[in-house]
Amino acid sequence: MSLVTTFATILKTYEYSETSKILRLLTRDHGLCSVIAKGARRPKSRFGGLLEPFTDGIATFYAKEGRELHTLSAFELHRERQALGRELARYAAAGLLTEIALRFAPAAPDAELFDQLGRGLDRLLAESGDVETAMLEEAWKLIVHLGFAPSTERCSLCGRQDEAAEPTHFDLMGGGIVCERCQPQAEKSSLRELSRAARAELVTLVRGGRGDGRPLESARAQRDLLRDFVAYHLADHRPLNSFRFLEERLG
Amino acid sequence: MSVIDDLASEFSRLPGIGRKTAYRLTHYLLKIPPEEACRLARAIEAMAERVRHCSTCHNLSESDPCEYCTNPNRDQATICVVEEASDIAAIDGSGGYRGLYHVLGGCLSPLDGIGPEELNVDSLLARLNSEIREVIVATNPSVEGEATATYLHKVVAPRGVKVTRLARGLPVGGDLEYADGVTIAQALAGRRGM
Repeated sequence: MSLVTTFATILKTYEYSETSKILRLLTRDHGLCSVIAKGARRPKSRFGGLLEPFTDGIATFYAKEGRELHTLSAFELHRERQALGRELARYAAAGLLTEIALRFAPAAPDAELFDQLGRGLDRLLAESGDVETAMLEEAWKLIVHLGFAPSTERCSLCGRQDEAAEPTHFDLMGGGIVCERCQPQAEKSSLRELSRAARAELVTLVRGGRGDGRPLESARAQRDLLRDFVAYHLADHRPLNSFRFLEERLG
Repeated sequence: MSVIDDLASEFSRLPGIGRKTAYRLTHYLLKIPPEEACRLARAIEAMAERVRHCSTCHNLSESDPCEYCTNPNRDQATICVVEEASDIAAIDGSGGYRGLYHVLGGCLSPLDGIGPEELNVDSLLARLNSEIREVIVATNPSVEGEATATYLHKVVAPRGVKVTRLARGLPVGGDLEYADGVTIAQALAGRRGM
């Protein structure tokens, strides 16, 4: 048994027994971890109100080799983001980012993914512009980092450079746009139409976004595409839970 | 599967009960007089048969409407909204509240796919007649509880009903020195004049 101390973001909490909590953490040095915080639900627990989703801190836990659930010994607050719960659109967007990390983060440590998630949650908390744009930009940053960047400038089937100024189709199965010539080869159910504006904005989103909080002209189309792309490539064709919640909040 | 294994298997389905504890409970029941074990079985059977959700407030009760909804001595102008029926016992046991209740059946959680449609929100809105003057949101002091409270404020306040939220901060009898930063910040934000 070894004592581990690492930066961690709380992704999700579960109540366990009468007084404890199980936390799913994304840690900087140990990847995704599950820890049990014994007594965390007692009113006078030493963890107090720290163990809430979206919170960053330094977690200290006893890691047992071969065990999946470790015992949390201390959690030193670094940054709390409970204010995300005070606005439903921000809460829903933060839920999407944490669900992406929770479900698709690799088992191995990934410091850049940890930092990117933290930057994304901070941005959602502080964004004074359009929250949906911020959510789309931050979600794509995570997806690109996880290695699922779609092809937005070359045809995903033949690899030919496609004229960026033209409307086109996005092939979910192919993982990117398809040129007019290859379009008949793609399965119809896998194709999503992209207007000229939607295509240009997708290129910007996949490159990291504008970061200025201005609303996207094709926000709805981008949200639908992100939902379908994640479902197809990362989530066994099922949309993430947080997408449904998000769509109900954003309309 | 033997009767012993069968019972242990049923026990192990309960929250917080593992295989070993399930067998320990089973063997305990084998040691006590048979009539005591049968009393436990009858109590479980009666609970499963008789306890239902109140069609007004969704509390768990043997009668419908439940004893809180039908008690004329309770304050009929205030509804306290809680996440689970078990929260009612905690609030009512405090002796500080004598109004009506409404059980949401959970809280908003994007990761679990729980939106307002999965909660008893429509039935709460249907209860907001001219008699109701205040809705007290008593969801847990967590991010999910806060988001649920925000949503309830958004849908209830436009109906002209006062919406209040339970105070957050230091526990009574606690020690400031050992309180965490989040709790102290909440207590400072919610400080009141003296």
